[in-house]
Amino acid sequence: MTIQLNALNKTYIGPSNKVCALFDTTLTFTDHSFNIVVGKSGCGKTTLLRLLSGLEPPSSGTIEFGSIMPKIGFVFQEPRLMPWLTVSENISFSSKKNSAKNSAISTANIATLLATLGLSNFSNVYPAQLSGGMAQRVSLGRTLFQNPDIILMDEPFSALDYFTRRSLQETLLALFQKERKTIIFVTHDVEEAILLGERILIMQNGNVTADIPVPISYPRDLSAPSVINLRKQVLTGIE
Amino acid sequence: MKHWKNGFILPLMLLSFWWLLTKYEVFSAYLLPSPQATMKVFWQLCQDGTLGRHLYVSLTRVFAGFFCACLAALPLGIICGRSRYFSTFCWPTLEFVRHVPPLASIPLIILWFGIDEASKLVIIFLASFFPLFLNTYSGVKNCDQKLLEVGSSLHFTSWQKARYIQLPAALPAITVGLQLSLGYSWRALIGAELIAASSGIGYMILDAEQMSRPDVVLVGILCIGIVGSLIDWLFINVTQKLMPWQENSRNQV
Repeated sequence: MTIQLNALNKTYIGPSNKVCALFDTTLTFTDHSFNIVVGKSGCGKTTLLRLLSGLEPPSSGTIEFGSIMPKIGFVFQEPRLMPWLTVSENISFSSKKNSAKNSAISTANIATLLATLGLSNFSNVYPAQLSGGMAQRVSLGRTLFQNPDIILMDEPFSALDYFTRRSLQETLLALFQKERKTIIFVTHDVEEAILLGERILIMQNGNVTADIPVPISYPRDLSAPSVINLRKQVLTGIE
Repeated sequence: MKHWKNGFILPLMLLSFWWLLTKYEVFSAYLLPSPQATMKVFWQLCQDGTLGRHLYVSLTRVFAGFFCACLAALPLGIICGRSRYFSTFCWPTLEFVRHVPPLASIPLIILWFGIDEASKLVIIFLASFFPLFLNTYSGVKNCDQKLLEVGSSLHFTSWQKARYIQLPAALPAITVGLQLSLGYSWRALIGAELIAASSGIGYMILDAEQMSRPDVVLVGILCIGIVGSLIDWLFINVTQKLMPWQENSRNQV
């Protein structure tokens, strides 16, 4: 399912000023692709995701998803888990919106997700008892439980330590290679962008200034010459 | 709970001080009966069933008033917390009523509701309504916007967000409101039983005052304090069982 953004604009109107967070953006995201949006803080990356998810309306322009509205999942920067629900209840949180629940399928899905995300031993634990990495895994599980067509991820691993971040990046990559869902992943970490993306979009001041395809197979070695070249290209684009 | 014994030190000190005051007759026994005399009266009132009867009547009144306050304050707090229009509509009126002490309204309450149980219920209701209403209101209103955004990202309807996010998130605040409200109902009891009561702990105290029985007054006061504390303790234990995530938040994996 292709996502087409046509002359998308978003302006936030404050009490004394106007901030143009996204300016005249026209873009296409192809089906089953891993897209990375990279840029400095305040360049409009998160705004782009919020508009795509429908959390905010654009000031002007349109977003086209094709003939059928796809299911969109959102992984936030913070885990945003419901403190009163256990890990498995948080994962299946989206099932609350369906009046007719298929509990057998739900239970099987939860068990599979818990195993995939390495949380099998923590299904009955409350979020306050989890570490940051575990909580973010649950947050990812909550999004995957919806079986979305498109996954939007807003710097989901930015608050985690290096080792937890690497482990979650590997989990995400394995999930992408297995299910090939369309992912739009926002980050300010160039290394993360290079390790994960099939396509890297560079944003500056509310504009997409570069669109770099990444024809390097997974897993990527950061010391390989092609990856080093790509890194230089991305860094030059940002600076 | 490791230092629970600490809580008994001050009451024991006060009891000893009371005993010393009466032993050395600092005040006359008519003004301040000794702990032994008070205990003796307490035992007598227990044995002849007087205390139990009064306590039962008072507890029935407190719980009936508290229940009515819950029925009104919980839905109103939730609606005001969710609707800016409704909260601005109700707020000036509620603010006015909140600042009028229930005791100041007793003459009008008697005039409108008579001297039967209804007037006592109204006083307990007025005393316990606002702690619960305000806590429910602020709990619902101050729900973490980030959690509500999760509901939006999952395409929850407004009702689903209220049911599955705002209400559970407000539960700790609502529980505090219920706890305060229950305490206020108990405190309003004497005021309620000032109105032509023929039974209840408040009546027992007022009757003892007229009969010049300070020992019975002390038994009544101690009874109110002890029963109030027991209800509070019971309430905290029940709510802890109902909200296990509050307790578990202290033990990180």
